[in-house]
Amino acid sequence: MSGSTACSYEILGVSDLANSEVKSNISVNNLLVIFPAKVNSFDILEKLEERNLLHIRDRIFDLLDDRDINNCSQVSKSWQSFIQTNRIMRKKKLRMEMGEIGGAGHFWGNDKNIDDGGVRNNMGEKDLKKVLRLLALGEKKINLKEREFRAFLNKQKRK
Amino acid sequence: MSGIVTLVSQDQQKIEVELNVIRQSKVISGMLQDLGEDEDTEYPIPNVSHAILKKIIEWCEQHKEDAPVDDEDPSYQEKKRTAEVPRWDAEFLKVDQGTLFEIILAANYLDICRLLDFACMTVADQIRGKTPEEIRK
Repeated sequence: MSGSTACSYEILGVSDLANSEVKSNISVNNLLVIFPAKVNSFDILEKLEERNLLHIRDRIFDLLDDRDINNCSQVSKSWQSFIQTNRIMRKKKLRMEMGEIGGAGHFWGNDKNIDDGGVRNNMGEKDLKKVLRLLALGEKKINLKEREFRAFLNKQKRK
Repeated sequence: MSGIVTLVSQDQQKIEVELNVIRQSKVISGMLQDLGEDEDTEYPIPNVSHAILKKIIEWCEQHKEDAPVDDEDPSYQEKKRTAEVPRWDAEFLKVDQGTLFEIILAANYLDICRLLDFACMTVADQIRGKTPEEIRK
C-alpha cells in the first residue's frame, strides 16, 4: 500500500497480501494471532528447518512443556507450522509408546475381562503423565478408569 | 602408533588430536576403523570449519573419560527431559546463536550425541518460560 507507515507488523497494512495473511493467521483456538515479520535474532529453529534437520528441531521441542510449546506457536508463522507438525509427531510417538492397552487405562482396543477390572488395572504415575500429555496434544481415544484415577489423585493430594 | 590422528577441516586446516579424545565422535570412530588408525592418514571433516572443529575437540577433551551413552535407550531419553546442562558445558555453550548453530550442525554430523543433547538443551533453555515476544528477541 502506498504511503502506509512502516511498522514491525507487516500484516497491519491493508493490501490484498496483508488481508490474505490475516486470514491465514487465524488458527490458534480461532483467535486472531498477528505475527511479526520474523524473529529478530538468528533463528536456529528456522535454520534447522531450512537444512531439513527436523529431528534436531523436534529434539528441542521435546524438551519443552506444553505451555512453552504454546508460546512458541505464537512466535512466527513458520514456528507455528513447525509446532503443528511436531504435535502430530509427538502424538504418534506417545500412542506408539502407550500401545493399544496402556498401563494407565489408555486404550483403543477392546478391554476384556471387565468384571475382573480388565487388563488395565494399574496406573503408574509415568503412564498417567503420558496419557495427560496425549490429551494435551488433542488425543480423543482415551479411557481413564475412574477408580484408579481417583486413587491416583488422592495419593497425589496426600503428597 | 602414537595415538594421535590428523583431522582436516572444511577450510583445509589440519588439527592433531588424541585418539581417545576424538572417539566421542561415532563418525570419526567409524572412519578410524575403516581407514585404519594410521598416524600418516589424514581424516577429512569436510562439513566442519577449523574454528568449530577446535571447539568440538575442546569439548571432547573435557569429556574423554565419560561413559558412552545409548541414544536409543528409553531411560536416557527420559532422563534428558529433566536433566540440566552441566555447568562446564553451559559455559562452553555460552556463545552467539550462529556459533551455537554451527556446533549443533557439527555435533550432528560427527554424531556426538551428548554434545548435541547439551546444545539442544541450551536452545530449549533460551525458550523456556518466555513469552512469544521475549522469544522473538
